[in-house]
Amino acid sequence: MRRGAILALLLALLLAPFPAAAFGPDEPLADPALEARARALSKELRCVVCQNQSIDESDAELARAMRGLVRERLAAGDTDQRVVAALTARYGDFIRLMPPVKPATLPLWAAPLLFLLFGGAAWVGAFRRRGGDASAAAGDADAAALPRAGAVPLLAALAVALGVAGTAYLVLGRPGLPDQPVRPRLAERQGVEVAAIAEMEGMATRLEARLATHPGEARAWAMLGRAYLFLGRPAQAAAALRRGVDLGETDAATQGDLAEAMVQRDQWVDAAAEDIFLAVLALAPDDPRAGYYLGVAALQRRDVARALARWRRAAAAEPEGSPWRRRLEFHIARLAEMKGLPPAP
Amino acid sequence: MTARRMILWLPLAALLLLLAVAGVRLSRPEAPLPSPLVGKPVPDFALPLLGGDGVLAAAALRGRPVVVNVFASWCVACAAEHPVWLAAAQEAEIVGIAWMDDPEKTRAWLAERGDPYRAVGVDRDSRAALDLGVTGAPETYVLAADGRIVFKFAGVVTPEIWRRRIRPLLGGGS
Repeated sequence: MRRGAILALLLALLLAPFPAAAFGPDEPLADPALEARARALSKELRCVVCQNQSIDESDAELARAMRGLVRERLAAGDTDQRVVAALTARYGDFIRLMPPVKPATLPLWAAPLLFLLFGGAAWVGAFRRRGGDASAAAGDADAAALPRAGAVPLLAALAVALGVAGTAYLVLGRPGLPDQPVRPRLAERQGVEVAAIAEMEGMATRLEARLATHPGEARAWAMLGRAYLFLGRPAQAAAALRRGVDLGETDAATQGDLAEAMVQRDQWVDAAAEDIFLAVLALAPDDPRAGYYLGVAALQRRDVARALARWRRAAAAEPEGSPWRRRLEFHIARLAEMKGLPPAP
Repeated sequence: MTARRMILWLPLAALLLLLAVAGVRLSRPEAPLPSPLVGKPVPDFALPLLGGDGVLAAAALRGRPVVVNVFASWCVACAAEHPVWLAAAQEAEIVGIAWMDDPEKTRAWLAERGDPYRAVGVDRDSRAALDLGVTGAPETYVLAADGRIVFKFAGVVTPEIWRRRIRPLLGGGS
């Protein structure tokens, strides 16, 4: 059982370097007003997997499903309130990023106000006494001494509060860290400029438009598929590349891209993808990507020896120090270490 | 007079208390989210059965206590708790919901590890999961004979949890 769990984890890691599917709306509603409401609602709902992101920002599967549910209910004519109420009934108020005002949350909302009032009252009180009001001094001989005596604990409280807040900020604060919208996030993942992402999106749009009128162009389908793959949309990439391959773009690179898109889409090397990678190897016996994924497929079947053999062959065909070679060597070493085998055959 | 002096220390005491509570709560592992569904009737889900044309409907689970276990073949923690269900299957009715999982893979997973479930509903698009307020796998619900959710547990069910917290809830009806 333990070994199985480790192997499963390893598999997850092997497929992890590739971006997961989608951000933002997956199936925007046709009605722009309704879609705007869906987006606004999604921004107010918490992704229960990531917990500090809204479902609008999250690329977790559950968030995607929840976005779908929100759109479905809005399309069915529900009001915003009813959508939120339906989700609150299942997940509790936690699902709302902004907690509602109700008896249970009253301390939360009232506390800042109370602190302000209390602090203000204390301040005013101290100020008045210092003013040396004659009647107060007459009534209470100690009153004049109080401000100074009272200053110690209050100053101590202030010092502790500022000290803790300051330390926490210095340790945890990241004032320079900008939030990351989709394009910069993609750009960072792909190691390119943000402008390149926008350019690629533009290219995908142009290709989509061209293919709407000329659906028979194999090259254009393949290019569109590659653009989608680059943009982290593997399901669309696989569909487009499939069209391209079926229409005759059967070179090793295109077929390899198709299989890779399928793997990214499923986060699993299934039999169909494996067959395509085998076809790629028949065309280009040294293709490192095909070798890598065929190794992963073997590992999925718990066939460690075969996985190692595939990876070693692929690594040997690559020049020393190339990205694929480094990557393959890294995984070979890790797998060998896990299985107590020497990294070199 | 001393009472008055004491009051002045109150803000400092309150602040230290706040810091202590925050420190303890932040250093502890996350507590599972409370579910508002406990005590309420189970939402009315209906899922296609794994390997059959039938339907796993919430309505059909009435009349006796039932354990509903949300699992998936991709879920490593589910494999960890699986032996508990295999053992429990002899004394309780356990129903599975295969969450966001390819039925083929679910079947292979169950074939490899053993199938403790009386029935398995296929929930690929999180339909039932969203209805049940699922936040991750594995997750376990206990339904009373009248169809109310009487217990929810997010995470790996250990033999201990099964014995102490779930089995007692099944006592009457089964």
